[in-house]
Amino acid sequence: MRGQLKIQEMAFVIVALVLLFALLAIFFTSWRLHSVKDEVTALQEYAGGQLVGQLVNTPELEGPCQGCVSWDSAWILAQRNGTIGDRWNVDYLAVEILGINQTCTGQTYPACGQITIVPGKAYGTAQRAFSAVCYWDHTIKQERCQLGMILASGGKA
Amino acid sequence: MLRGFEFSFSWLFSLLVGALILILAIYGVQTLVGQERTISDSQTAQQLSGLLSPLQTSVETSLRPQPIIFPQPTEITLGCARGASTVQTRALATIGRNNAPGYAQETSGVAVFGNTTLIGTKVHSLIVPFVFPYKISDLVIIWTTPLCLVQAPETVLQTFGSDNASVYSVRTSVACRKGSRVICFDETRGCDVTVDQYLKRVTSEGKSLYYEGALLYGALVTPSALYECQVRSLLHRGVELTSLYAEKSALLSARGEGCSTAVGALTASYGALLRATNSSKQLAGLAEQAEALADEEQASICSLWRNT
Repeated sequence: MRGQLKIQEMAFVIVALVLLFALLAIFFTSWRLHSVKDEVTALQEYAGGQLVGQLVNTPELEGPCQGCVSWDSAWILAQRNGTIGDRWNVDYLAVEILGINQTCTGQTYPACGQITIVPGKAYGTAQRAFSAVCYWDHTIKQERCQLGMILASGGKA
Repeated sequence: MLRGFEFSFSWLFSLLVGALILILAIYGVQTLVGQERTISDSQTAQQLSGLLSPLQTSVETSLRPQPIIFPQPTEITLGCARGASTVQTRALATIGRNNAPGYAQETSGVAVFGNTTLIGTKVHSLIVPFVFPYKISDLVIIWTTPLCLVQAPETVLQTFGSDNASVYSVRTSVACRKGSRVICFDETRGCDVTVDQYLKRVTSEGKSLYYEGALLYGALVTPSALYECQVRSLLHRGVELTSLYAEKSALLSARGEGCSTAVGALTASYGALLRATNSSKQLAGLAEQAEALADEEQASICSLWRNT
């Protein structure tokens, strides 16, 4: 009888120990997952911030001068349904000319103000960098440059 | 009188359960430490890939950034997959066995050249643009072993920028310090790497690598398999760029006068040649076409890409 009681006591202690460890493991896992999520967000922002500066000089977008974006290249890349996004691991990429609030379409291009190259659906904070945006203007027979910006959001950090 | 030790059921039970708990705890801690190391190594690789592509170079310049210093000896593994360069890192353990490397990180928009496995705390780098005839990509050349340049031409010395620690120049290979990678330009004795500037060929470990332009710097420090893979990736990007420029040429020609359609046609044919090229040995055949394309583009009133 006394032996049975002892065994029951032991069993209770073991169950309590297992529950304690399980609870600790759950708390630790949830804390760790939360911190990993924060780290991933921070890395994505870091990657996005670095990327936006690089994109200005990347051959696909580089314009006729150093540090300027080619409006014509951006327009051609935009017609490719965002496939170029994989090259830079971005889930959103757009080029804008400041002061013109008109999205570019086949009818309005090139006298428009916004080209979305990679249309991201759910992206975080887009990083931006100011840059000259240039295109060939046949009326003046030379490149026309205006102040614009490039916006990008890093997808896969 | 000897009295036997009473090993009661409760003792046996406590010992068994205690041992089980201890084993589980040790296993848990080991797994956790392994995971944390993998996370840390993956983060390091991510940061390293970010550091390797700081600010892209303009067409005509090269960059020689400050060395990247790791707090402990680190193994860096370079790879080339699906048209992109990958970087993996592993912090080498000071106690116990080494963990598996962290997850490979892709470097966006740059091709990384170097030994397949680099070990050290200080990584030196050189960033040069690869122009053929338009800028295709930036080449990031990384190394940990000092480079001894024997009779190197002035352009190579200027690009590397002799700092006497990671790169230095000598007149004969016997003057190279022990442990250096000996790169000879007009000598063959006692060299790890020899460069034939006339044939644009680099010979290393019995294998020949061919180069054009800034690919020379990649060929000096990269083993054959990785080099050829990076060259194929660059040519693949070149094909994508030719298609972009051909479309741009058509767009500009359609919009107004003065933009030559000949450039577009030449660009498209150059793209076809690039597509058919799959080894560095064929680069020489492309150089003439690249030159003709550059001349045609410069003659056109509207530019398709940025020139020097």
